[in-house]
Amino acid sequence: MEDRIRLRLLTPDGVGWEGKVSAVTLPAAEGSLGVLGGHAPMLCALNSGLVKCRSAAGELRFAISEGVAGVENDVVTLLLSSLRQL
Amino acid sequence: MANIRAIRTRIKSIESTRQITRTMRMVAAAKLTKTQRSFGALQDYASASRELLERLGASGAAEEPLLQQRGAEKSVVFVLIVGNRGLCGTYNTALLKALEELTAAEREMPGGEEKELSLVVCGRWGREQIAALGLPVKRRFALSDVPETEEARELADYLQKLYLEGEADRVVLLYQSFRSVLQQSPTARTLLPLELPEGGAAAEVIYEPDAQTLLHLLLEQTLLGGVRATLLEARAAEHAARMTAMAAASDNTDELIATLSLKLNHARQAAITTEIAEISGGAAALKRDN
Repeated sequence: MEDRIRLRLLTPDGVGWEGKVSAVTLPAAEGSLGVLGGHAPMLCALNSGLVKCRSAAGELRFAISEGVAGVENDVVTLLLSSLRQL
Repeated sequence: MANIRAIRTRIKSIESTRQITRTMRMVAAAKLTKTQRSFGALQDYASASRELLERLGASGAAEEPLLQQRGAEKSVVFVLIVGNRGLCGTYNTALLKALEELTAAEREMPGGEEKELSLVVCGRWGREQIAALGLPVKRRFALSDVPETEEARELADYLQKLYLEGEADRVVLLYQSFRSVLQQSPTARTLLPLELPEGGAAAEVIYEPDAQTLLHLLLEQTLLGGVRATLLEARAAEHAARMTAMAAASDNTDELIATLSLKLNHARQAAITTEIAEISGGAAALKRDN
C-alpha cells in the first residue's frame, strides 16, 4: 500500500517523530482504532498505550502517554505528553 | 613606591573581576541559546494544539470549567516568575515594581470589599524582597535555568487545581517577556480562565469519544504548552538580561583597568624621575666635595 498518510507525533519537547506511513493504529479511549489513507476528519482522545504504524520501510511502534489525535486530509497529528520509540 | 604597589593590587583584583563577568556573560549566552532552542521545539506542539482546538470550535465549550469566566471574582493568584539569581540588571526589581502596581489596581473592588490576592513564586531570587510585599505566598517552585516539560507540568497541574477548586477565580502570569536580547519588559497575562482561539468548527468532524472530553484534553494540553512557553520566555529574558549586564560590567572593568594603568605608569615615571634626580644630585654633591 502507498504511504499516503503524513504522521506527526508532537510533544512539548519538540517533534518526536514525523514521516509518511500507510496505516496507523491508535490506542483510542474506547479501544484500538485504525486509520488508513482517506480517513474522514476526526478528533480522538488517546489513552496511554501503543501506536503502531506501517510504512514501506516496515512497522514502527511507539509507547505514548495520553493525548489527542487529529486526522484531516491524510495528515495525522498526535499531541502527546510524552513518547518513546520502541 | 607604596602607591605603585597599591595600584598594581587594584588592577589585579579588577582583572579577576573581569574574568568572572566575562565567564558569566558566556554562560548566560550558552543558556540563552539552549532556552531558545527549547522554545523553538515547543512551537510545533503549541501551534498544533491551537489548530486542533480551532477544528473543535465551540462544541462543548459551555460546560467546560476551564473556560468559564467567573462573575464575581473574589480571589486572584499571581504567578511571579523571578530569576534564579541576581546580577541581571533590573530584571527582578522591575518585576516586583510591576507586581506592586498590578496588585494596587486589582485590590479595589466595587462595593468596597477587598479581593483576596496571593502569589505563586517560581525561581529562587529574592525571598525577603517578595516577603516584604506582604502578599501570602501559596507555593514556591524551584525552576531550573532551562525549564523542562516536567517542571511546567507540575506548575500547570497545580494552577489548574487552584482554579478548579475555587481557590483562584483568575490566574495571572507575571514575567519578563523577551523582546530582544537587549530588551525585556514586565508582562502580565491571564492564564486561567483560558480563551478559545477564534474560528468556527470544521464541518463534519468525527469526535471520539465526544466533543466535551476532547475539549478538556486539548485545553489541558494548551495550558501545559502555554505555561512551558512562558517559563522558557521568562528564562530567555533572564539570560539575555544577565548577558547584557555582564557585558556592561566587563566593559566597565576594561575602562577602569585602562585608567589605572595610566595612573600606574605616571607613578612609575615619577618614581624613576625622582630616583634619577636623587642620583644626579648625589653625584653632583660628590663632585663638589672632591
